[in-house]
Amino acid sequence: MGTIAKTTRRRLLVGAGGAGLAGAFLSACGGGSTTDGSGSLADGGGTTQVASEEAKQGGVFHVPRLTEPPDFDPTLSYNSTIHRAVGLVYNRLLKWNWGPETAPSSTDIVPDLVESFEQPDETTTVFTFRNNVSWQNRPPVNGRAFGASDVKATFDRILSPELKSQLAGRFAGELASLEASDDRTVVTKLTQPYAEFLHSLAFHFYWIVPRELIETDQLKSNPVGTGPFIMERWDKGQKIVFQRNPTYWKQGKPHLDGVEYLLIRDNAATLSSFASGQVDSISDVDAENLTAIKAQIRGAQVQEFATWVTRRLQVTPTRPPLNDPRVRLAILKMVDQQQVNDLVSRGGSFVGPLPHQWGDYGLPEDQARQLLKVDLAEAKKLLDAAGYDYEQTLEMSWNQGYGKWYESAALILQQQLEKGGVKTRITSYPQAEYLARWRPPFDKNQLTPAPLTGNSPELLYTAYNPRGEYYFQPVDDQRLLDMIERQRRILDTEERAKYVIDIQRYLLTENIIDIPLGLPALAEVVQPKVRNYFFHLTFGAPYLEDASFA
Amino acid sequence: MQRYILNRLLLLIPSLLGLSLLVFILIRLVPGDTVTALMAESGVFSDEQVATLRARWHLDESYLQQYIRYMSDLARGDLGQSFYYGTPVADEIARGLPATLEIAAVATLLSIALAVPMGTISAVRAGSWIDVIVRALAVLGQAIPSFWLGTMVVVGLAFYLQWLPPKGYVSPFVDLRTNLTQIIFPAIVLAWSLSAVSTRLIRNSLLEVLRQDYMRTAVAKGITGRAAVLRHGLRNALLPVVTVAGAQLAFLLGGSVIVESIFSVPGLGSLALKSIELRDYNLLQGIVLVFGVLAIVANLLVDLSYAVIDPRIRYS
Repeated sequence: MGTIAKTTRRRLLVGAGGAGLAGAFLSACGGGSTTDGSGSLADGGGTTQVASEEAKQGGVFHVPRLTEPPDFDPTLSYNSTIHRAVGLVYNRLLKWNWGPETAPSSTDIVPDLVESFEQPDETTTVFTFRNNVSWQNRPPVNGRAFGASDVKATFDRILSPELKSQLAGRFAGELASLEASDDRTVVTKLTQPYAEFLHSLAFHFYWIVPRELIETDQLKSNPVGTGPFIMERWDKGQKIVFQRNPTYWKQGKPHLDGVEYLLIRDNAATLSSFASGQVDSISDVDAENLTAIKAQIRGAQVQEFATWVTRRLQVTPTRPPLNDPRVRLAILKMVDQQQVNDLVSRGGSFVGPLPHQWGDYGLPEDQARQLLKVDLAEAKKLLDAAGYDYEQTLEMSWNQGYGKWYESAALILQQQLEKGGVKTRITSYPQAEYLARWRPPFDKNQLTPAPLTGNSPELLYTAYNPRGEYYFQPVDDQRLLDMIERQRRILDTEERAKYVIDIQRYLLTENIIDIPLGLPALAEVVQPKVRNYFFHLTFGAPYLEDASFA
Repeated sequence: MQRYILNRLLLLIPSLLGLSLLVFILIRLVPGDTVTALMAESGVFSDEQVATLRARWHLDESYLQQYIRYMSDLARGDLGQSFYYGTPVADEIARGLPATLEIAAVATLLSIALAVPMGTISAVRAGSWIDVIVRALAVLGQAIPSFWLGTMVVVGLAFYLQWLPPKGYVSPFVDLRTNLTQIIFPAIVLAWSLSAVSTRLIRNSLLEVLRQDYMRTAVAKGITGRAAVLRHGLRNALLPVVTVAGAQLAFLLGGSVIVESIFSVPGLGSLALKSIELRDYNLLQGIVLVFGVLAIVANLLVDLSYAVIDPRIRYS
């Protein structure tokens, strides 16, 4: 595995979508694991069963959407409805790879608008952009060439203090400057080495927009990008219609004539729409619905995958009785993650804080199983040593917005803790009430999903650092904060991976804040006629540029 | 008559004022606001971002200040801006209203088309096996909730016929065929329970009328039984049915909230549901006001129709 520190002093040239060169870019970036796509759900590889063949031109792909965006400005908020809507229109500088041999959860980084980059030192990166990219032929951009000034305008907007963009968080205190040195070159300077820099640029929120849309204040209403599809119209409350971009810079793509996002607010109606052939794909299908779909639709193509979002029980380390680390360790030793996987997830993966499916940075499964082994006798000893009052009731809660899984998991968890002599009361609240009652950090025991950071150690920063975007539980542990800060500065991938695993061991032995409850399995299902559908968890479905019909 | 109508229209003002106050208070009693609802989509905002958003939508003001602001805008005919979409509420309502009105109108017509013959036959053949079947159907109609029936219709069409009506809403003036395919199923679902109530009402009312002396007199004068029922019986039996029909409009509008979502029709009902989820106060208040106006106007029309159905009724 290469490292950024070792490789970035030489110039890397990456071809336009060439697999070999892209692979070289990957190893240069050290951007995560490469999965072969043939593994089972249990090892996180995902199963690719969508037929792959030479693409035919034509057809309109229909995608169901439960929600619609408020607008199309991707530079201000993490609102997923916006980023899901604009992913066909815009490109990023770098992107996560997808393809027939790539797992849907992979965050292998490959170039998008960037052609090459070099890092003359640890804090400077010189990006050179492709010279064949033009904006879609729509006003106010009218097909002009994409250039460095667009990148600068985009990041100036994201980092503008007046706009208070949520997207600024990842680069706050890290990015010292971003300057265009000529039409095809941008030079970034960091305040200090930042191991997540390239990963952050590839994250599915950082789309590059044309400067004219910013200058004329049209970002909300008129998305015009460099992407494979042009947004033709938005029938509010009904659908968003995209047409093939005839001047797309990737030769021969996209293969589809268009894509339509249909607003279907009801889950049962979404399933029915798939059964009737009205939509061509259906996302986030759980085991129960997958069985029904397979029974009803002959030839439906299923791509199973492990999500990025582990489930966990957060225990508050700041209030009695859980402010005693022995009590938290005892709780950890009562939780049977395998049982949760078997009974609730019906086939999820056994994971540590960062799942082993994520590659180098994930805690290996054998270590996770060893550290998360159920040991009621040891738990009792720990509780006794801590003088735990067995008559008290621990309050726990979960947010109903997270879905049915948490309801079932809460019941199982309650039984598991009861076996260890710990009484609990678990309460659920509607999503808005939950967020209205408590502002993060919540300072309460709760069942939650892990933050969505892609498969990167950045999760540690976003979850446990007070400046992190998903700082849900107060952490009063300077040693942990120092460790998390330090791993962000290690540019050597191997060294960083080793250190990140040490942090996870610390989080499962010395300062328990989250108890992992597994990584559930989901599936993406497409109609039998769909070909070359290389599903990926990235927002915006940019992989539809490869999709076609038989 | 004109004075009566004017009085009724003037009564709209306090009714709508009361309604607006009620909705204003009730939606704010529900925990959470637009900002917390947005956090569900966008992750956590910093305290500074939360403050900025609340200030932008005046949610940092007291309820009294918010209400005064809302009412003063309303007095100028401005329903405000949707928090979520950032567009005028009036535009959003105008976009959703045609679909909802059309579904409500078709559902009403369908329910009348079902209820009048069924109720009449049931009353005329009281005690017969037809009566038993009609009454059983009416009980079923009232017992089956529209959200369940709607889901069953969608699932049945999709899984057994591999077909569903096209998503969305196309105006009948643009494409009548597509329009009818889109609205007929939600209208049937809403009409099903509506017709059940009307059927029972017509049956009971007609049974009462059939026992009246004037019905016996009509038959004694040589009118056939069928003519007596249709010309004299049914007309007199319709008064309570028409009264209930006015009240049923509110039921229809309420039912549209779920049924439109199930059938993916972009009407006011699904918009109302979305605005509740998003705590989009302005949008929800606007929609409820429109629902209120529709219900009040419908009841006024019902009152006026009494004079047409029964010439003995006079308004002063």
